[in-house]
Formats: sequence, C-alpha cells, structure tokens
Amino acid sequence: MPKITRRRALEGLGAAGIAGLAGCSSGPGGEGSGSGGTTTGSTGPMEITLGLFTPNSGAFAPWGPSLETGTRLAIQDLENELDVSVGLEVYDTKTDPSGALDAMKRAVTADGIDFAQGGINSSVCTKIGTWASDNNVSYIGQGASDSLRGEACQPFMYMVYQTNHMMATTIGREMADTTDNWYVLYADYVWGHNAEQVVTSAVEENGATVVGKDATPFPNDDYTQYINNVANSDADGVALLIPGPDASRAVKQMRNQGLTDITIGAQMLEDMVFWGLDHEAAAMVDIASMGWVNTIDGVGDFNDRVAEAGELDPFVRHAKSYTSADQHVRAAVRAGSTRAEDIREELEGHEVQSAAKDIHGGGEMYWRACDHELVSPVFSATAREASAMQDDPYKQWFDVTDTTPGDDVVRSCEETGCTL
Amino acid sequence: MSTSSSRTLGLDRLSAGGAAVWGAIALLLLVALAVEPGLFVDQFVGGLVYGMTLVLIALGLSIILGLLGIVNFAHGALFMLGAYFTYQLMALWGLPFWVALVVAPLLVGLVGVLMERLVLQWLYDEPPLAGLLAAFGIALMIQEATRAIWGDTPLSVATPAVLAQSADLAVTTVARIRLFSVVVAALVVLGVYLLIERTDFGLSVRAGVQDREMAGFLGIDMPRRFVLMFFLGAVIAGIGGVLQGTAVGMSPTMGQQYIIITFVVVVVGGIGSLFGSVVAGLLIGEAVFLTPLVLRSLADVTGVGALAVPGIGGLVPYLVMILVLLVRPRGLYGQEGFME
Amino acid sequence: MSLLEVRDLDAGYETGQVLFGVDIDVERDEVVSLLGRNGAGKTTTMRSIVGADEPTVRGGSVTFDGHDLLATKTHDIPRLGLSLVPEARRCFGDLTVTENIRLAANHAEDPRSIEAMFERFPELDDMRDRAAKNMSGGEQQMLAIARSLVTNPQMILLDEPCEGLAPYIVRRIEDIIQEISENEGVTILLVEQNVAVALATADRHYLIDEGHIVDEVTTERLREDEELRQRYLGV
Repeated sequence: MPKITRRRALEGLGAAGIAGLAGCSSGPGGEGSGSGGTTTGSTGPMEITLGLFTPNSGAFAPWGPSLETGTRLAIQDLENELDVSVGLEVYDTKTDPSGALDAMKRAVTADGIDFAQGGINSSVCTKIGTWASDNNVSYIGQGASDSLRGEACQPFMYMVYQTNHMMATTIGREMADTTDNWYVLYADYVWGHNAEQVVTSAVEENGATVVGKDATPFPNDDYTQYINNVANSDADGVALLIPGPDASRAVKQMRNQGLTDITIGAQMLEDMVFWGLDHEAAAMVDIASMGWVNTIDGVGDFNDRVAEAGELDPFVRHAKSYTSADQHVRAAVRAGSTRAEDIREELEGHEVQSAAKDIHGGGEMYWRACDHELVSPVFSATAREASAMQDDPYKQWFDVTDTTPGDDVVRSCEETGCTL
Repeated sequence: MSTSSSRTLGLDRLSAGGAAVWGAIALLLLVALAVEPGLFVDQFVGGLVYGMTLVLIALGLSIILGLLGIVNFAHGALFMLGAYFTYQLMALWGLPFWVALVVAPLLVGLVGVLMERLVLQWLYDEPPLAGLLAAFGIALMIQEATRAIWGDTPLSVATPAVLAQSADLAVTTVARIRLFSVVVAALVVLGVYLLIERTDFGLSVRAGVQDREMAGFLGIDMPRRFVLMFFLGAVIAGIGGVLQGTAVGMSPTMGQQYIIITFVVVVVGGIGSLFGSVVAGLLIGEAVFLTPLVLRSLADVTGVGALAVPGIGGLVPYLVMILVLLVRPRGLYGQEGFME
Repeated sequence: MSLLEVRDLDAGYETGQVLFGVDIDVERDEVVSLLGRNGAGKTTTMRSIVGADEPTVRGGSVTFDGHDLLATKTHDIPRLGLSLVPEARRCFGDLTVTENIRLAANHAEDPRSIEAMFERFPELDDMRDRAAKNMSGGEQQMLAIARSLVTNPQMILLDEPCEGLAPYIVRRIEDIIQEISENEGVTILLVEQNVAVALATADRHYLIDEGHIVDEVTTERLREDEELRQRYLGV
C-alpha cells in the first residue's frame, strides 16, 4: 500500500514543519531581529525582499493578477531611481484567512521577507497584519474596512486604500446633492452594515431622505425582489452598497427589469467588476465613490504600462499596489533599514511626494500616525455614455466628476478607536 | 396512474400539524396582500420566476439522483458551463442568442456524457459517498478549467434585443428574459414529464430506477439509458446555464452558489421525486420573495419593528427546508419511487 | 443437441465458490426441475445462466439454442428466446400491471400481444391499472409469468414460483406451468424447494447439493425413493 506510506511520510513532514515554525518564529514582544531587520551594510545597493499577499484562488481571485502587476511596476521605478534592489515573493492568500496566515508565517520564517503587503478583504488583512505586527514585520494592506483603522489597528500595520467610511461619506453627500429620495440596498455583512449607517446619516445630514432599505444576502445573484421593493417605493434613487460583481449584477437586472429612469449610486465601486457587463448596463451608474480610476488627470503613462504588463486593464488595485510598494521601499531606503520600528518612524506623518501621488491626481496624501491610514482623496465618478466608453488599448468607462480631499471625509483620530 | 395521482396531490398525507402550518402561512400571506397589494403581486411573480429557475437546475439533479443514485455535485459545474459556453458562442464567436440556446446545452450534454462514461459509471454500485466525492472532484476540475479558459472576472453577454426590455404584465413588470426563462423551464418540465410518464423509453427508465437488474433480465439495456438520462440531465442544466448567464452573467463560482440551494430544493421536494423538485422549487422561490414582505407587513400591522428582520431573504430556503423536514422527514413527495 | 446445455459450470461469489462442475441438459419441450436444499446452488445456477453481475462464472460453458450465453450480454438474452422469472418475482412495484407487461413486450424480438396475456390470465385483466406493489403474492407471480410469456420465449427459467404462496394458488401455478409447457410449447427449467410442485409438473429432476449435481432422476424414482429425498432435500 504505497499510498499509506506516502501519506504517513507527508504527515511526518507536516509535523516537522510545524515544529520548525514553532522553533523559528519569535513570539510577540520578542525583541528584534528574528524576522525582518536588514540594515544597510557597507557597499552595493540596499537589498530588500518584499512579500506580496494576493488572492490567486477563492472569491477574490479575479483581483489577484493586478496586485502583482502594480507591485512590479513600482519595483521597476524604484530600482531605476534609487540605489536599491528589490526581490519579490508572491504568496496566495487562498480562500480563508488562516490559509493567508500560513503563507505569512512561511514568508517570514522560511523565506525571510523583509516586509509584507497585499491582502484585499479585511479578514485576511486583519489576520496577516496582526501576526506580522506581533512579529515585528512591517505590513501595508489594502482592506477598506474601518475596523482595520479602529479596534483592529496594529503598530506595524498600514492601510493604503481609502476607508469604507470615507467612501460612504463621499457617496452619501453626492447622493443628497443629486436627488431627494433614496432606497438603500446594502450587503448583509459588516462592510455593508457600516456603509449603510454612514451613507444614511450623510444623506440625511445633507437634506435628502432614505425612504427604504434592504439588507441583501452576500454573495447573491438574483436581486429581483429588492428591485421590486425599490420600484414600489417613492425612491428616485437607489444606493448600491454592495461589493464586487454583485453590484454589477444588480445594475444589469435593473436594466432588464426596465428600471432605467432611477438614479443609481454605488459605494466603493471598482470599475473592473463592470467590465464583464455590456456597455449599456454599465452606463446606468450615475454616481459612484471610487478609490482610484484610470481617468484621473495626471495618471500619465501608468495606464499604458499596466495594460502592457498585466492581464487586467488598469483599475484601483494596480494603483494601490504600486503605492504600497513605492511607499514601503522608500521608507526603508530613507531609514536605511527594514526593521519595522524604523519604517514606522519614517511612515508616520509622512506626506507622499513620489509618483504614487501623481497617479492619484496630485492631491494631498499622507500617512496618519494615529491609525496608519494613508489619507488620500476620494474620487466621485460617473459612467460614460455607452457610445463614449473606450475599450482599447484598455477600458475607460468612468469619468471623475469630483475629488474630495481625504481630510474632509476621514474619521477623526478619536472616532477611530485606534490607540496607536 | 389512478393510484398515483391521489398521492401526487399529497392530500392523503396531510397531517394535522401540516394543515396548521399551511393555514398559518395562508393567513400571513393575506396580511401581506392587504398591507401592500402592489408589491405583493410583484414579489409573487418574481418568486415564480426565480422558482422556475431553481426548478430548471434541480430537475437535472433530481433525474440523475433518482435514476442513478449519484449525488451529482458536478451538476452546478454543468450549469456554469452552460453559461460559459453561451459566452463563448455569443461574445467571442458573435453567434446569436438563439443559436447558443440550442448549441450550448448540447455541448454541456456531451460533457455530462464524458463525465458519466469516464468516471461515474464505475461508481453506480459503490456507496453513495464514492459517487459524491467523484462528482465533487469533477466539479472542481471543471471550475478550475473554466477559470483557466475564461478567466476569473465575472462576465456577461448582451441580452438579445427582444428579451432585453421589461414585459408589462398589467399588474407588474418583469424582465422579459426572466419571463422567457419561465416559459422555457415550464416547457422543459412538461417535456421531461411526458418523456418519463408517456413514452416507452420513460417506462423502461422508471423500471430501471426500481430494479435495475430485473430490467436487464427483461432485455433492457440500462447502461445505455443511464448515458441518455445523464445527457438529458446535463442538457437541462445547460439550458439553465444559458438562461441564467444571459439574464445575470457568469462567474466561476456560480455553480457552487447554485448547487447548494438546488440540493435544498431536491431535499425539500423529496429525493428522487421529479414532481417534488418542481413543487419545492416554486415553493422556495415564492418563500424567498414573499417572506421579507410578509415580515415587514406583520411589523407594520403589529407595530413590532423587530419582526422585519433585515436580510432574512438569504436564510429563507434553509428555513423552508427545516420546516418541511420537520413535518415530512422525507420531503414533500419523497419515497423510494422516482416519478410518483 | 439440447436446447439448454450447461457444462462443467464453476461459479461463485467473492465469499467463495458455490457451483462445482454443474452439468444440466434441457431438451426442447421438456419441463425439468432443479431440486436442492436452501443454499445448495439452485438460484446461483439460474443467475449464472443469464449472466447476472453476480455470481462470477469461473469456468465451463452455457449454450442455449446454439448461442454461447457466457459471451452474451444479459440484456440480449431475452431476444434469443430465453426468459427468466426470478426468485421473489420482482415485479416493478410502482408500475401498473399493463406497464409491467408492456415493458417486457417492448424489448422482445417477436412479442405476443398484451391482450393475449390478459386472456391467458383473466385474474390480471381485472387489475390492469393497479400498481404491482398493491397485488397479492399470487397475483404478482402470475404477473411475473405473464411478463415472461409475453416475450414469446422458447424457454422459461422459473425460480421458486411457489415460494410463500397459499396452497390453492400453488395449484393454480402448477396448472399454469403445465399449460404453457403442453399447450404453448415452452420449455421450462424449474427451481423448487417444494418437491410436490416439481413432482406435479416436471418430467426430469436434477438434484443439487453443495454446488454439485448429485443425481438425475425421473419423476417416478423421485416419488418412490424416500431415502433419496431425505438425503438431498430433507423431506
């Protein structure tokens, strides 16, 4: 029975691996150098190994390639500009946070990465960011949830994406400016619930009304019953606080059902999820809050480089990955060290001056010390007319209508609940 | 026939507890109808449409489960393939929807036949777990192959112009593509019913379900019929995929998403009962659409706001399942037979 | 050459060999019985002849009307004119009487008419639309025989047709066996534990014990030789 012996052997290996990990990883508070901690030597370029955590399987897998592309572009630019050599190790965050955590442990203990970045959904960011911080490894994530800058914040964890709160406040204000009676559809989990609260209060503070709301299951692909609710209400606008492809499904179904006159607002829209739709359906989105969009003024040749390099047309995750690597490496170079404490010292309060600022349109961007948020402008956008949508050499379907400075919409330090 | 039709109605099996449950449900529905008549009609029609989509997917699953005893976890993957073949035919090859509606299900049928010939046929006499695991493995393989070929990003095709608008049904408007799906699903259900109940082929299949070996002793080539029925089940899944893909779009996870709720439908309907799957699909469709409305109306009437549980919709299928299984542990029409 | 020739047949299950060199010959128009105790190998013999999935035949040959049955698929055998009425009747319980018979007719080479079966078995005529599972054991046995007869077979393998039936029904079955043999020219190989049925219907008897054919006797000898019956059949 060769199968059994092989399995036994694997079990043995696994046990050995676990023992190895336990032996190597320094515990929380363990001082210093067990992991990370390259300091510049005497000669030659500074050598940095960057660990990228990206979803190559699971529900967020469509996003996966963009993180790597954005990171590689940043590394190219950094190596041209600075005396630095950056090695990239890519890890799959799998479908669940514990898989991502295993990858993080392996990256730090076995592969010796200097610092880490990536991670899209908040549970993954929280899990790997906490472990990294506990083990003195600097980590920049891309989660949008407010808790990452609140009760879950960590001394060596940073977030490069605008927060759910910032985006929701922006879209809520835009909604109130556009029309008076809104129906809110929000995804039935933490992200959606938070967004619903913020949007509702922003709408009401600005003189408009929320006439009805529904929590929708997530994920979900039949929105008919909620669309019926909207159609039977007095609303002349519907807010979609629904992430990812589900939002695009909801829009398409509204179109199929003939609900075309209503104003559609979308929270934290990533235009990539609309690219699978036909132009006419995508064109129905009237207002959206976005973390980045490839029609920002000043984006330069970034779009072309992404289109050339990557599998996906340029969208927000390219820009955020670029920014993560750019900021992380520059901080290390400035500090002459990759130790988490040294990078923290460099990042806190730092104002972005690099190309990462240009591709974000040149507005003020800075690392807030109290919660480690990269405070950045939030973009309001609207879908182009179907006939004006560009598909080649890359898709441009949304235009920026307004840019809100990050400070206008970010929670105050006291509100976050983070005590850094 | 005469003996089975009284059972089909299920009246003789309606217990007192069951009657009380149905009575309470009827009362709640009346409350909702009184409070919001317009929305009630919208949601009722919506539930019917959604229910028929579920029926279409559950039907193929039920056929294969009832006939072959295989819990075909790959059925969701076949459904997904129907959607992606539609994408290939329409978006990439520029063929019209009507071609996709015919060709994509046939292609899915072929995939189903390959699955049956290469893997599942060897597992008919093994414990059910073996078939389930094999089918699960196939589902993963198809899903990953789909990822590799068409990518991870959700896709969609342009709804054909005739079906793109909404249809005005006087009392409500429904997306025409949805209405079209209902018609197709109804025709498929009718077709399957006639095939199973009214043809000699169906007769031999029903015999084979009850006693495969005896059917063989009588000269019936059961393995060939299994292939044909597997083909049929896969084709029906493919039809569901074409319609769903056109109405909603396609993503590599759609199969997984639907297989669970489809199992709920089959279990509620009673394993092995095609008729049960139809009833259960419609029941769950209506329940999903009407439960939130009923709760909201109830909250309005009683003034107890807490009754309008937000986001209850996603839980409803499972609540229905629990309720039905408590009253009838075998599901609505579950018995050892096939088409009762 | 005999209509059915079983030569040196070895067969068994995963748990072990059951038949050891079984030889049986049935001539056209004969009624032959295969008698033995419970577990002697009677049903295993019948199932081996029609090539059921189990038991596995390990050696020997089975020839019917010149065809090598071991090389023929089970579902092709009825078209050669050999029909099995298995142990426990195995009517399709959820199908009606008519459906059961029609099913068999549909897959026969040259079937008799279904109406002829209802004339032949008036008991069944009264319950054409009844589901088989709602019939008595005797009625089911008649249905099983009708289902076989409608295929217009040259030969029927009848496995324990009288098991568990009331005496007056047993007599009716005996009559049917005689009728289809004498009036309709169907050859019959009958498996029975009930020696009386065999004595009443068969011309010749094979005695099987622990998988071996131990004797082949005439009806007279079987009737008279009490010691023989005691030794192999326990009666």
